[in-house]
Amino acid sequence: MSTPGSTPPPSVADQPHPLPLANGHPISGATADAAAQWLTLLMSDEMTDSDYQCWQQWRAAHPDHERAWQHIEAMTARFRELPSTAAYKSLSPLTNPVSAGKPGSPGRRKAMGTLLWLGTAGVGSMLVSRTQTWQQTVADYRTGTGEQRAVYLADGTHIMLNTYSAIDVAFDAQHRTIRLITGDILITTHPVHTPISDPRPFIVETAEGRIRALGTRFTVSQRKGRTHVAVLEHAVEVTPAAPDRQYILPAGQQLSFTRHTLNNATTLDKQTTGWTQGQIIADNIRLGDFITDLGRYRTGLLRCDPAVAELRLSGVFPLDDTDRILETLPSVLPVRVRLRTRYWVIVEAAS
Amino acid sequence: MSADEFILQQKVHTLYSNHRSWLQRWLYRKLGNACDAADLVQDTFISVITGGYADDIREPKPFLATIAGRLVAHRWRRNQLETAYLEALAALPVELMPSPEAHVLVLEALLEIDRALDGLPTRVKEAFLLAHLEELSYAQIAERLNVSTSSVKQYLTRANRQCLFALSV
Repeated sequence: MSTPGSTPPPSVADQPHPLPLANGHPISGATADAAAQWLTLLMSDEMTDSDYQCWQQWRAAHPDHERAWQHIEAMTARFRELPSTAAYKSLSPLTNPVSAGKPGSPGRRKAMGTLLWLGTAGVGSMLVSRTQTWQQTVADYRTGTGEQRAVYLADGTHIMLNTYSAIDVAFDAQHRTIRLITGDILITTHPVHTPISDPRPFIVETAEGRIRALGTRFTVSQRKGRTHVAVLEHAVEVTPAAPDRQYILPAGQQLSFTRHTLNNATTLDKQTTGWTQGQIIADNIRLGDFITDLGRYRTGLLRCDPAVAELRLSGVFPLDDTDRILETLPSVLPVRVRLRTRYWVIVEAAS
Repeated sequence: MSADEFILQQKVHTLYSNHRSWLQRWLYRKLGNACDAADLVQDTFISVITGGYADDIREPKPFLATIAGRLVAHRWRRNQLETAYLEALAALPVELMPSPEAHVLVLEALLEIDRALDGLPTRVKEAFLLAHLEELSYAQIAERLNVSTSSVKQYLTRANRQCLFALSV
């Protein structure tokens, strides 16, 4: 008699183990298990450097691992937006011993995940998304978190990779192509049309389009859905993937583009290229943005409480010691830096 | 409107005409309040339509009663959480009190976490809430629950797994 529709819809608890979802993508139960275990370890004060390395390797080993981790981070970030003690007291089964024998008991209902979080425009995960972790791992040249590295190519080009960056290099008879997978690079090539210049065009490809070097010194940054280019000397030709329109960007200018849109060029500022000098240069920027940027250079989680994210900050901060940068924040802003664990740091309002 | 849509609408209409009154009486007995009962009758039929079940219901009475029963349980838990939350807020100093606009959002979030934790043993839930909301260390949680820290880790991994993957953005 159990024809479809003749019985009430099953609650989620009755269904045969649906696959867990990480930001809407189904992932395996084993991946969800592992992500949950990593979170338990990360929240403990027992995580060691070698655990940390293993955690990074696990995240890099499969795109679903990273997906699961990003999901966990996004969900735990939501908890921080709740009034914590009141939320704890409301939900705790010990302060509200109600679960047994009540009228209309929800029984073994499990979460249906259909109610939307009506969270305010939350800051959410403050870590830079690393959706391309997999490509990062197998790239020709790459840097880890907090690392910078110089690479010299066969044609004499010099490339500097910023923290957590990766490139593939493909030189053939016709072209010199650098594929920027993630992060930031500073490229210094020989000028074109000089006796020592290589006649093959020098091109940087990103997810959004290509940049052709017409000159010598420029930076390219791959961000989520967006490429940023800044020219320090001479010029580059920028071509987004979709609309096949080109733009010559001269020295002293910068612009960002998506696959479809080329934004207007603006004057190059020191903030953009500070990393090439080993610095974060802040000129009246939001603390939230500063912490996001700083987080790219630090291992573990670095979060900014939304309550202080709008504070403004200026200064030059050397990147070789990010702990020091965090230590100086309370002397310039009404914030405190709380080390929940060594790998879990929160910048919040000074109480 | 296509012929199929017309037929579906007729089916929902028939279902509603035939079953509205007993469902309302049934809900009134459970809730003791005519307004709430009327609300949940509407919600029940909305669930039937949005769930796409309207087309092929063979035994409408148990079907509708099951859906309505879930909605009652949901509302009951929601009221209970709201009461607990308001009590907890009353203990807070004024400057830490969330704004009234935030109230509804927080309540929805609490309700979703509560559902995501449903079915876990008390100590597992408690360990999860103490770690994530009260931000206690594992040693402190172990002391409160009178268990070892390795048990706390097991509880947390279990709750992290169930709760965090039951939630969505």
